[in-house]
Amino acid sequence: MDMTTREPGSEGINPVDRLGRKINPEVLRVAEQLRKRLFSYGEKMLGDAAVVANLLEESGAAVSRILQRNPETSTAIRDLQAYLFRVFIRKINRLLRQQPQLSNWEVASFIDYRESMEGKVVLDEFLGNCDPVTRQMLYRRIEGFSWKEIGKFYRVSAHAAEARCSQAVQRVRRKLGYRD
Amino acid sequence: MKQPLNDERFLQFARSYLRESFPNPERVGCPPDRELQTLIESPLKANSSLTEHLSCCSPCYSRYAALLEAQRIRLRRKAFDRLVAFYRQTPARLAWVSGALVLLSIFWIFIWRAPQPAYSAFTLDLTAASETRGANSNSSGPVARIPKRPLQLKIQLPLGSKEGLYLVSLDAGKGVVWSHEAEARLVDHVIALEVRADLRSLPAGRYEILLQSGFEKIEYPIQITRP
Repeated sequence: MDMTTREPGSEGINPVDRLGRKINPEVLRVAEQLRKRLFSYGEKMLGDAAVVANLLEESGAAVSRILQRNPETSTAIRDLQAYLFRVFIRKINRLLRQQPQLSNWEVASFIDYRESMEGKVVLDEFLGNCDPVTRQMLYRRIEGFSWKEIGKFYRVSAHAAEARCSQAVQRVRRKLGYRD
Repeated sequence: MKQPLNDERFLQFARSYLRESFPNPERVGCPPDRELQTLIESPLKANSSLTEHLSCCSPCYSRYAALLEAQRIRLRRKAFDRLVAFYRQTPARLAWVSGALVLLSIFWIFIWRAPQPAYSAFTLDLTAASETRGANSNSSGPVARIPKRPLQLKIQLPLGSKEGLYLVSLDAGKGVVWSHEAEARLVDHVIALEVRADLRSLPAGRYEILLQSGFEKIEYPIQITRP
C-alpha cells in the first residue's frame, strides 16, 4: 500500500471549474506556476485543500472570463500572476466573511487585529483595487515613514498623501460594508 | 474610530501579513534586486507593476521593506548631518544665532515681562468698628484714608470677631468694585487678616469696605486717596 502523502494540489488544476466554466490556457499556465503558493496560502486560511482547489479553479475561470470579455483588459493587467493571486485572495476573503466558522485556530491566532478578519479583508481589498502610487504610499506608511516623508517622494503635501490613502481605505471599507 | 493608516496595530498587522503570508521559495515571477532599488529611489519613474507583485510575494516584500528601512535611516541621518554641517561650516552663523537668542532672552526678561508691582504694607484698624445690625449701617463714624497704590493690606477686625474665612470687598455705592477672600487669625490678641489689593485702577473717592463671614457682616467707610 502506498503510504506517501501527496502535496496539496499536486494532481494539477482542472481546466474547467465546478460550474463548467473553462479556464484560458494562459491563465491555467500561470495558475500552475502559482499552484504551490496558492495552496499554501489557501490552506493556512481555510484549512481545507478541497475548498482551496475549488476556489483556485473558480479564480482561474473568473480571470479567463475577464480576459475574454474585455480583450483590452489583458494589456491593462500588467502582472497576470499577481492579478490571479489577488482574485484568489478576494474569493477566500469572501468565503471567510460568509462563513466565519471556517476559520480555524491558526487563522484566529494569526489575525489578531480587532480579533476579526476586518483588517485582513480591508488590506487585501485595498491592495487589490488601488493604483500603484497609492499602494506604494501604503507600503511606505506600513514601514514607518511619516506622511511628510511620503509626500516628498510623490511631490505632494503630507496632507494630500494622507488624504489619498485614507480616502482609498474609506472607499474599500464602505464597499465591504464596514462602518466608519 | 481611529484611521487604520494611523493605527499602530493595523500597521503592525499589515507589516507581518505582507512579510509572512505569501511565501515564494522558488521565487516565481520575482523581479531582480535592481528593479526594487529603482522603485525605492525614484518611485514615480519605476515599473509600477512591481507594486502588485509585492502585494503577494513575501520574500520580495521583505527585501523591499529592508531597502525602505535603509532609505529611511539615510534620509533622517542626512537631515541631522545637514544641521550639524550648517553649524560646523559656518561658525559665524552659530555666533549670530547665539547672539540673537541672548538678545531675545534679554528682551523677554526686561521688556516683555510686565513689571511686578511693589506692595507696600498698610494697616487698616477696624477694632473700633462694630458689626452691622439691621439695614442702618454705621456710616457716620470716622473715615479711614487709604492710598491709591498696591497694598499689602492688614485689616484688624473689630473686637469680638471670629477667626475664619472672610470675604473682603469694596463697594462704591453702585456695586462691588473689588473683592478678595482671606483667612482671619488671632495675632497679638487681635483678629486680623491680610490681603493684597492693587487699588491703582480704582478712582479716588469714598467707598465702603465690607467684611463678611457667614452671618457676620462688618461695614466701614473708607476714602481712597491719591498717593
